[in-house]
Amino acid sequence: MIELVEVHKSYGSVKAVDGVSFAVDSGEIIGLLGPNGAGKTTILKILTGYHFADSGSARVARQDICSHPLSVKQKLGYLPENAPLYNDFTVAEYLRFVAQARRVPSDRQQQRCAFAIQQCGLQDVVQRPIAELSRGFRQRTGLAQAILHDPEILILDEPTSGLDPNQILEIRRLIRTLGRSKTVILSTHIMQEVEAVCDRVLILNKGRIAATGTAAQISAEFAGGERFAVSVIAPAGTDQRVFDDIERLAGVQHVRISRLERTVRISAEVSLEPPAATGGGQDGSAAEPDLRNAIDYDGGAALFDWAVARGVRIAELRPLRRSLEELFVELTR
Amino acid sequence: MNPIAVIVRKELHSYFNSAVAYIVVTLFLALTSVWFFAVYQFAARDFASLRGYFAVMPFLFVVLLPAISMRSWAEERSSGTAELLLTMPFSELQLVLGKFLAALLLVIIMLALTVTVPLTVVPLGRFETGEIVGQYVGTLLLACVGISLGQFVSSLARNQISAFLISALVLLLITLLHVATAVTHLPRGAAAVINHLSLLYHYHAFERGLIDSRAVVYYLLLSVGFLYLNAKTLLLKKWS
Amino acid sequence: MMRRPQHIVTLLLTLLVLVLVGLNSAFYFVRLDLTEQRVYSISAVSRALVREIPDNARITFYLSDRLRTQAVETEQIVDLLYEYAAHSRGTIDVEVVDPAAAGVTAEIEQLGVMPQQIQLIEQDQQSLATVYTGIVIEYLDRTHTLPVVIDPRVFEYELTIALRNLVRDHTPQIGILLGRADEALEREYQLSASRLSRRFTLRQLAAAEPIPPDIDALFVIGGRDLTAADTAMIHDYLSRGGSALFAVDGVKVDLQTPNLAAAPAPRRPVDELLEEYGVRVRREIVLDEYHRSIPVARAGGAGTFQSIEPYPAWVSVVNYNSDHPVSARFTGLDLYWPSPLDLDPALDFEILLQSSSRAWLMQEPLITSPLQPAALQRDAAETRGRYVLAAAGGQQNQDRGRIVVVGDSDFLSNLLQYTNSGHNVDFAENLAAWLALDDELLSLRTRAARDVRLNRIEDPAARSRVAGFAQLVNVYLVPLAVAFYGLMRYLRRRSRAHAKPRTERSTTA
Repeated sequence: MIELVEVHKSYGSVKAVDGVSFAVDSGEIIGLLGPNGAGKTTILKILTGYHFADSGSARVARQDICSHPLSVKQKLGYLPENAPLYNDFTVAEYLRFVAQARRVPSDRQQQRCAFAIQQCGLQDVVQRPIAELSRGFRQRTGLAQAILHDPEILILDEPTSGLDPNQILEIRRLIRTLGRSKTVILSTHIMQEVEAVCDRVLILNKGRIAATGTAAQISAEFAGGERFAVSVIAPAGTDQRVFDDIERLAGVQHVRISRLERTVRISAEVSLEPPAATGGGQDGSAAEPDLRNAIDYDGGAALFDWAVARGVRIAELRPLRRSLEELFVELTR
Repeated sequence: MNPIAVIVRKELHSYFNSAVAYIVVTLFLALTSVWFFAVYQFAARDFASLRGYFAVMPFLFVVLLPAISMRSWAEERSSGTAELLLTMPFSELQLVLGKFLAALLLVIIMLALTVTVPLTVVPLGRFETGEIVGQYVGTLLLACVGISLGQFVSSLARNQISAFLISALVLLLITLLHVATAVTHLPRGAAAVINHLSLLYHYHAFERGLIDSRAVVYYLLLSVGFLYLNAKTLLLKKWS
Repeated sequence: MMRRPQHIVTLLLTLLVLVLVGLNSAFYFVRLDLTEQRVYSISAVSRALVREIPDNARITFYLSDRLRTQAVETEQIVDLLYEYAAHSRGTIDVEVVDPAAAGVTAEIEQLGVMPQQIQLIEQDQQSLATVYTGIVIEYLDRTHTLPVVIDPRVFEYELTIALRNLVRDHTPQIGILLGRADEALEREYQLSASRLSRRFTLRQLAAAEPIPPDIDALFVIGGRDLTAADTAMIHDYLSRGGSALFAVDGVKVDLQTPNLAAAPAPRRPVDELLEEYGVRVRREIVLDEYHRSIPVARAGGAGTFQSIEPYPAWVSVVNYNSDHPVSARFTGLDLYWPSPLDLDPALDFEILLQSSSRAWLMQEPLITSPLQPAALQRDAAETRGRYVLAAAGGQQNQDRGRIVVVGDSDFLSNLLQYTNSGHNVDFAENLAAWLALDDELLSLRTRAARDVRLNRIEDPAARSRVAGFAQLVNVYLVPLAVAFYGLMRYLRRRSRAHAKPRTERSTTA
């Protein structure tokens, strides 16, 4: 459905997108994840034909965006980062304009407007001037605009920004529903959003793709497995070698041994290797059982099993989650 | 519906739901009439012609047309709706033409409201119908130039205010270019070229009821040129 | 797929094309004249003329740059010149030359182009400049000069006549038959004859000779010494389709006597002829409140001294027939001791000129001395009214040419120098053109006349009411209506937005 090959785009001397290639199948929900300035928005702008790539090709439904802008735009629904609204229109007038502009047949305009209003929960503000709407309603009006003409492809730039938690959940549910029949590309900087909504994620950094795959695959593959802060109570004389028995042990750091009366307390950060993910990955045609194995693997349980087998008592077991920023620091090191 | 018509409707909706259109139209009607009846003293001049009435219009246009056109692109860019328009299934030319026609329609409405002037003064003397027709045609063509220039500037400018100031300045300059030949002593050729580039110089022909193809072609070329530049700029900005 | 550089190239090429189109339009152009009188176009007469020019003509407009950049009218003249060139299909070459830059000021002054003084304001400096705006036409080995052209409205008339006379090498001929044997064209009529001869060839005809058939019009001025044989020949000429002006009065004033003694003329053959045509010249003088002054020599203590006295017998004509081609573009006419005309209502005479309604008559005995103003007013009370001073006929009558009768034989005489009445010659030119059946040329002359005054409503009170109404409507009502409508729309929109927040209505954008 969507295909980017070696796309480059610079704004002046700033390289916004630097050789990005990826493909999206129809019906997929793809998340673009990355910190600010990673090139997410630029990629979306290229996909919508708002900007053209300096080099490389961007195709939607096998049509080049530069050479067939009109037929490509016809297939797209787009919500930019800031909802593009006309303040001197009411919501109804605005949607009416969008319906005409998007070439919705005039006999279906009424019905599509009603659908979008209902889906985005705009019933109460239909006759209000957009200038008077709150941030949440503005964002929802923007989303209503994007889905109004029932596009094959939805491109959403940070669709949940500025919404309260309930609204975020609603919008995510809506995107999931729409995603059953449409191709959706959304950008976000929130990991959970990707996990909650997307089939697949592209992590961008400095205009390049840093990682791609399902959320679990990425965290497994690139986060270097799981890390735990572990404190065990072991018989006196035990030292850090006690950890060597741990299955899939990847590393032990920050070991601190404090002697008690008859025992020692050993605290350390333990890294576990992720289980090998078979299949899945780039092409997205996941091999079901292996993937489930990988997901079912639980480092905490494995450590517990180890402690029982080794005869040490766990005093503290705390998973160490790394933030997105940490992940990026690592990915781009 | 025709895509250009969609844009025209949307633009007109914006014009008539904002104060700008009413302020511009009211000012235009009031100032031209005050000039004609109170300052120019039409009744006392004993001259059955609306030349005095139309003579002031190019000067008002210098301020009022940029006021109409300043929002067209600058506002869309600053509110982010440019991104909406440019990702909708419109070509750049359709967008530019739609916005141009909408503003032109506003000017046509504005000029239509001035027909009360010829209608109310016609009982006083023998006015030349042809002259009045020429005056309206010229004024409309002049408005085309002003609008297309203003909208082009608006698509380049950072905000409405600079769009207004720049287009008013440029419009003033090309309106009064021929004054340069009157106050300085220029060689014949240079003076002819400068006169030909001046809007007001050509406007005098229309004012007298003369439709000169040079004036028409120059006004239309400027309008088409600015519209074309505007459409191309929108396209080229995609690579910026 | 077009990439950015290609787009920039097409953009530049398109702009280049637009500039080229613009350049071309400056050289090849048409002008659509929307005025009723086609004030800005050259007429069919001129177009037909330039189309039939067999050889190349060269028109050089010597126009000083300083004048050209300041006076828009000269640009109109240049435009009109190029219109001649455009209609000529290549036989007319037009060139506009700045005499100072070309260094030909001495030559063109030799050719008759007259230098003009104008005030210039340049860079805040006032200065006097000598400028030229004259035209030299060259055709074969002939040249003709228009010394000063500045008024675009009369320019076409002047140029077309000059071109026509030059190209055809023929100027219309006017035969002049002086009714007084002791007068000569180059003496008593020297002023008007010299001006008329710019456009016409004047031939003084001797009495008792047949009227030559090749003249285009005949002027009969005075009738004292015309015999019955003379009038028979005039009648014969008219019957063959010739046209004539009769400037005949019924009173003779002796200019040699100090008190301008006047006497009624005896009945002459010319009177009989005119009566046959339906015009009777009365033996009276028309005096008018609109009149000129006369220089008078008074005998004083030490000798004589000159004074200027108002003189009602020198009538300034104010009533003219604006529908007749001769008087349509009337610029003025002064008549000296005119006689009233009686027209036979059965015949097809049209009144050309009348006195004002405040005119009166001097009946016998005639006392015309300017030094006796009371005597001049003698019959005023009984005879106040409007009197016919000139009439034209013969337009409908196919078997006879055109006739104009003016009740004054002196209006072309040298008397006009006393009243500075150059417009008398303009009137005679119009007469000559009309009589010579040169209606097209006449139409050239009359086309610029449009009454541009705000005079459709005569009553000043009603007029100022209408003007006040126009001002009220346009200055206050219309702008206020627009502002009010805008405000109403704003308020309605606001109330609708807040009144029914829950209703989902389809609103048209």
